[in-house]
Formats: sequence, structure tokens, C-alpha cells
Amino acid sequence: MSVEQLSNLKQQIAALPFSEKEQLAAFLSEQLAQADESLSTNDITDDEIRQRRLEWIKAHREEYAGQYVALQGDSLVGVGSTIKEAHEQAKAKGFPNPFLVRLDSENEILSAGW
Amino acid sequence: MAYRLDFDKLLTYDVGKPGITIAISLHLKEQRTDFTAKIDTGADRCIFERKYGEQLGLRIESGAPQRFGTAAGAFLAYGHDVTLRVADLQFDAMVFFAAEESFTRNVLGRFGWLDRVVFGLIDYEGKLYLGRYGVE
Repeated sequence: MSVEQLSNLKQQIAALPFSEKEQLAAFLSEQLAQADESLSTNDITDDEIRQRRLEWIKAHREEYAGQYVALQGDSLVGVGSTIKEAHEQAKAKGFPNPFLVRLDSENEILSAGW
Repeated sequence: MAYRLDFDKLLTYDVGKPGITIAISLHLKEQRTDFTAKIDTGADRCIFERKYGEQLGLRIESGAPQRFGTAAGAFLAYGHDVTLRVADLQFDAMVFFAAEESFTRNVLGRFGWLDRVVFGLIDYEGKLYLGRYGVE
């Protein structure tokens, strides 16, 4: 965005009623928090993210056994009985591409097919 | 009533061979391994031979342990977070590598692969249609 465009935007915001300024402030705070989380995630390598995810899965698999979880880094951003449910929760929180995985108890014997 | 699905990819496979076998690759950092796997809707997970995990540089036993059952008995495998690629569609997913080196099957199962694709099959013609779920 150019300096002129930003200046125009600020003028428009200044003209807004108080309640709409409050809504805008809340929206910007949310956006800043997400950007901050995204930046901190980008500071670590892909390998570290995978390692953290795996450790999270091992630590929480019994708690969420039989459910899908959506992870952003090693933070839980969605959970549900279906992949769609977990994904929708993550998207609603501003994470459109989380790591999606179904967790099962270590004691469960899963089907290998054939 | 007619129903319509759109797919990004069309794969062909040899109908003369047992199973529906397709080429896949696994990726981790700069490592990559290519092999073939059978699509198995009865498999809860994607399960591969141990050697393919080792080729990616994984310490297999550091993964999430899970037992799997077949009609012939049970076996142990370990889950790892890798990038799974099939016909240019790739996903970060948890897949499992068998603990035993004697395990020589490779299957694409439901959780981790089928649950994130749109899948169509004409076995009569050996045609497999694939798309990424959620992509318009």
C-alpha cells in the first residue's frame, strides 16, 4: 500500500463512529496477534516444526484419541470427530493450512487393510 | 439424478496386476524416496516399508508407535510427519513405517491420504482420478 493510500485510509478511519473504531481496533489486534504467531513459526526450521508436532502428538494422543486435530506448529488450533470439523475450526481462527492428523490411542490396534 | 465431480489428475494403472498400484514419493528436508504403493481403503493409515523411512533419514523408533492388525496377525509401526506426494498432489501427513524389515507392503490408507483427496475410480479401464479436496 502506498503512503497516499495509507493516509487516505487513516482519514477514513478517523471519520468512523466510536463503535466502529472499536470493532476495527479489535480486528487489527487479532490480525497483529496472528502475524506475530506466524512470524515466530517462521523463525524455526521445517525440521523443528515437524519435531515439535510429533512430540505434541505423542504427548496428547490419548487425550484426543479417535479425533482429528489441526496443529499450527505445535499449537492446537482445531479439534473434531471429522477432518472437516477440525479444519473448519482452524480456518475460523485464521489458519487455513494447518497440519491435520487423526489421533488414535497407542493401545488401539488399527486396520492395516488387506 | 446425475452427480458430477471434477478432478485435477488422471492416473492409469495396470489392471492386469493385483491391487491398484501407483507411484508415490515421500519427502523430508532434502531427502526424497520414490516407490509404488497400493491404494487400500481398508487400511486406516498409510503404511510403508521401514527402508523408505530410513532413506529419508528418520530414526524409525523415534516416531509414534502404533499396532496394526491384519487377517494374518498384528505388527508394530511408527508414525512420522513427512510430505507425501502422489501425482503432484502433496500433503504433510503422518505416515507409518513398519518396525520389522521383513514387512514388504506399502499401502495408501484412509487417514492421512484418502481423507484429503477427491478420488474416482474406473477399474474397468484402469483409470484413477484424483484431486485435492477443497480446491475449487
